[in-house]
Amino acid sequence: MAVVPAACGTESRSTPMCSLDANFNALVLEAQAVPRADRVPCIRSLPAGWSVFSVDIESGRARFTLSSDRAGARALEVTFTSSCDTSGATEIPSEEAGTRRFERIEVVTPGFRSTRYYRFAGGCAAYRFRLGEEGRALANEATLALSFISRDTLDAKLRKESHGRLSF
Amino acid sequence: MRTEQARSLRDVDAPGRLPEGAVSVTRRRRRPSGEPPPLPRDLRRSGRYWFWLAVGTVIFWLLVLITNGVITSPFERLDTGILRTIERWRTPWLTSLMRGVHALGSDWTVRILAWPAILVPIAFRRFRHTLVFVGSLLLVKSITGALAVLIHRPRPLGVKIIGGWEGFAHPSRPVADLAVVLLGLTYTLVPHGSWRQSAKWVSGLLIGSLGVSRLYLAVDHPTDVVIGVIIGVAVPLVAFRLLTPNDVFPVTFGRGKAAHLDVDGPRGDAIRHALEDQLGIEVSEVRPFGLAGSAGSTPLRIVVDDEADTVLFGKLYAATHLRADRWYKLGRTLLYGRLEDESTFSTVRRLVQYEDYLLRLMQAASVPSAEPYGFVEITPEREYLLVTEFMAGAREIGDLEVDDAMIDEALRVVRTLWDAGLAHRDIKPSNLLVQDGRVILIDVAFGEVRPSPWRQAVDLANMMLTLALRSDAQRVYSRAVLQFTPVEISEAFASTYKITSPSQLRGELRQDSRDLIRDFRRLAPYRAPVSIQRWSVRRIGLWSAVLGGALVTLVLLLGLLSSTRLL
Repeated sequence: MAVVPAACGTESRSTPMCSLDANFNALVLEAQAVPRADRVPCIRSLPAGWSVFSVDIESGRARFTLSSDRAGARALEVTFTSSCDTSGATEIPSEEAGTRRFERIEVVTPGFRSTRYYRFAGGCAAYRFRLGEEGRALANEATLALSFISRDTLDAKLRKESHGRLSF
Repeated sequence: MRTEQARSLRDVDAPGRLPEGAVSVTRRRRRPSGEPPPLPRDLRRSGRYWFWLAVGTVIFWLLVLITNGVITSPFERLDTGILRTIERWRTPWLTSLMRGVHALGSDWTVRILAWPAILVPIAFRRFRHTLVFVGSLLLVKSITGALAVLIHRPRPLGVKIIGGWEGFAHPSRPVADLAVVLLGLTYTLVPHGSWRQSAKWVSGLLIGSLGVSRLYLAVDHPTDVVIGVIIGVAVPLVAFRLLTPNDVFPVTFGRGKAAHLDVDGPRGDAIRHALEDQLGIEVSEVRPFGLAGSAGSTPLRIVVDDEADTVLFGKLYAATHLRADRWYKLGRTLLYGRLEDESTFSTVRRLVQYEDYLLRLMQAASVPSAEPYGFVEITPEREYLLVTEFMAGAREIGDLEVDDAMIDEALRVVRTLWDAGLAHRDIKPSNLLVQDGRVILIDVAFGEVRPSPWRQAVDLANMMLTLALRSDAQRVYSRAVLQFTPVEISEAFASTYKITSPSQLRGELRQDSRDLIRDFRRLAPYRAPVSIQRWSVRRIGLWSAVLGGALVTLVLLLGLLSSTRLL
């Protein structure tokens, strides 16, 4: 697995940040991993105490994990694939336009374990929470750090930078 | 005694001087500054070619990083153009074929190829080959992993990717990994010569095939593949050529002594040139001699190109011997502690200088030994040839029946060593030659000046045991008391155990039906055994360091093998 540990919690160049100016190539690579998805998950900004633990992008899948000083190492794992199995999960209204959100709560005590799915055209992002007892209240805080960026936005930037030569 | 000693010291020649009349000496030539030594370390043409390619690659990366990728535009255009052209050639059957070839870059292929390159050299005690291979693999993995993040180049755009990939594209890690393991296999398992050349061609074909398949499947750009090849080839090639040169560390599958160097080819020529330039002697023949009796150097018989065909004896020392000496001394210090406490040599030059010095000291002290003629430099700090007189017609004491006169001669050698404050430390049948009834001590490399009394006592015991193997304990003891007191002899055998004897002597004692150590102890007055186990803070520290080091190495090795996906 091509795991790239993020150095000491800093946002390394391989981390897919939701900014076209920072780590654009990481977003492009993510989009290449799931070529039919109309958007890719990314990190908007990290709340205090959170850090990127690892980034692992390969054909068919992108995965990154976040650690928290309170919720523990790899408290949140985001996996981006072309589809996901949402059986047993409950659909709830999604705050992300153009996506469907599903929740499957596995353990509420001790700690907190659940999986949240966002399904969208051509892809699915699964957020797996593995929070320790002290960090169980941090699930919502962690999700605030995450968002999506559309393929069209990436494509437009790509075309602009390559003077129309390159696109997905 | 003092007068004799002074005369002997005066008679010793200056280093590198042959005694007048012994050998015909021509004019020596001083190597001018800047001229390479007789046997320089050489990357050879292809090594230099790959080395400079790697340097060029590093400069390219630096420019890419400094200019934030501005200079990459022409390469991007070229890459995309090539990939689009290849994309047009895609057909179903070719795609199936290329997907099959693409498996050459899988983790499993690399794992299957890497383990023989690690384990086979270990099985044949060629640890250096394994270390260089593992080091090259780790270096290539580290370079490609770090660059992938630094350069963070996406996979090809504007073409349809139809193969699997992992992480950023530049440089192509599967191509670099395959190249390093194939080069590793070539340099650890295939002997130098036509077989190795063939292996290089096969490796090139396989690496090329993988590169083509990755371009066909559009998982890499052409520049990713090219740079992957450069890293994967240059690192192991330069490492093997510099650290395991063929003439010092040949790929062999025998279990023979690793210490013996091949003196044919370039080394043979270098030895001839060195002897001619530095000692002023022209040589007609250089060949190995008596390899069975030597584990710490390569003994040579050198025939001088003069009217008398004078024969000289040479001992070729290289870095391998220096390392062997270090391990030997570490082992002895761990085994015996304070009694064997001693320092190691820092360079081959110092090792040879020391033996040359000891030979001169032995001569000055009238210990019958080979006359030293100095030494010559083959490769600076790495290879030196010690030259001494050749004991023509001499035979090993082990091949002869031992009579009283010979016993007296041999024991007189130890008496002389004791009187001069010297110890030989390696007295065994193969180091005692008999020439015209004279017992001569050879191989003084382990000798010591001002040794411990224990070590001197062990020298006496080893000499008596060697003599008794060819006669009997009673006879040797009865002669020994003429030169040593019974108390000294009892001390010698109180200090002696089988483990304190050189391995050749130990082996012969084991084969002998008699228990000679016990026999000597019965003959000599009783003395409580001298413990050979001496503990000191240094020895405890050494044991702790060795055990700790071994544990840390094991953990690190497992971690590294795991990180390189070999486990």
